[in-house]
Amino acid sequence: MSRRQNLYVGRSGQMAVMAELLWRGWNVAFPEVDVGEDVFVVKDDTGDLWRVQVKTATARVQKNGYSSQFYVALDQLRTPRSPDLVYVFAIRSSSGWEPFIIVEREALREAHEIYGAGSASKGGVVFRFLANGMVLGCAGQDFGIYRNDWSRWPVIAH
Amino acid sequence: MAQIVVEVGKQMNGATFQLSPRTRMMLAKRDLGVTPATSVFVAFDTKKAFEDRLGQMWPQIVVLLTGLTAEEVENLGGFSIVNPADDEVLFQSHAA
Repeated sequence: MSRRQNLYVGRSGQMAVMAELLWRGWNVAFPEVDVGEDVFVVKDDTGDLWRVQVKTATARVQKNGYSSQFYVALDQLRTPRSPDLVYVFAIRSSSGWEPFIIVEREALREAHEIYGAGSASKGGVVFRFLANGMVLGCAGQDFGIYRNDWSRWPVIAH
Repeated sequence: MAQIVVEVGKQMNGATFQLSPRTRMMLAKRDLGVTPATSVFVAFDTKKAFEDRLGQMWPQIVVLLTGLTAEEVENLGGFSIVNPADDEVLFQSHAA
């Protein structure tokens, strides 16, 4: 995939995540300069803020499902911040957007450092997810609980 | 290195502290009857205030994060403060 194509794919995932958040009643914003997060999510009435990093990949068809892989920078994965970062992995298949994988930075880090999910690569970690029906895994670990886990942003009726 | 490892992420308006994943696992295995905090954020208005005062607060931050008393922290082998980006040890308590 060309660099330009990557930019288009990446931005499409970002927009898809923002669209879902807006539909759920949460305000969203782009940082003018990309310094490590892609989307700010804001609760209008309280000003509560989340920092979201969207990673987008195109699904690769497998025998009984699909795979997708994402690169995460190691210093970003390891460094705590306030508010902390939430990763949203967006996967595009031929039939549309697959369920988003939504996981907090520290949980993803723990999955990598304690349970062996992902492999080290060029100052970062590559996570390869395998989806097979209702099962979602990464290096043998169950990531099903993170599938479309929008629980931190429940639907708000305005 | 001390058994309790606290990781720090510095930012413009302060610093975020968190127990390392292995420390959380170690505390959970010991079943000490505490529920560690997810993180502690210490805010400072200026970077200088941050540099001047932060070191004095480390023992209290560890107590807040772990839910243990200072004595219990020492009994576990003390603590270290680490920059997780490069594993630099910023401070190590003088536990036995």
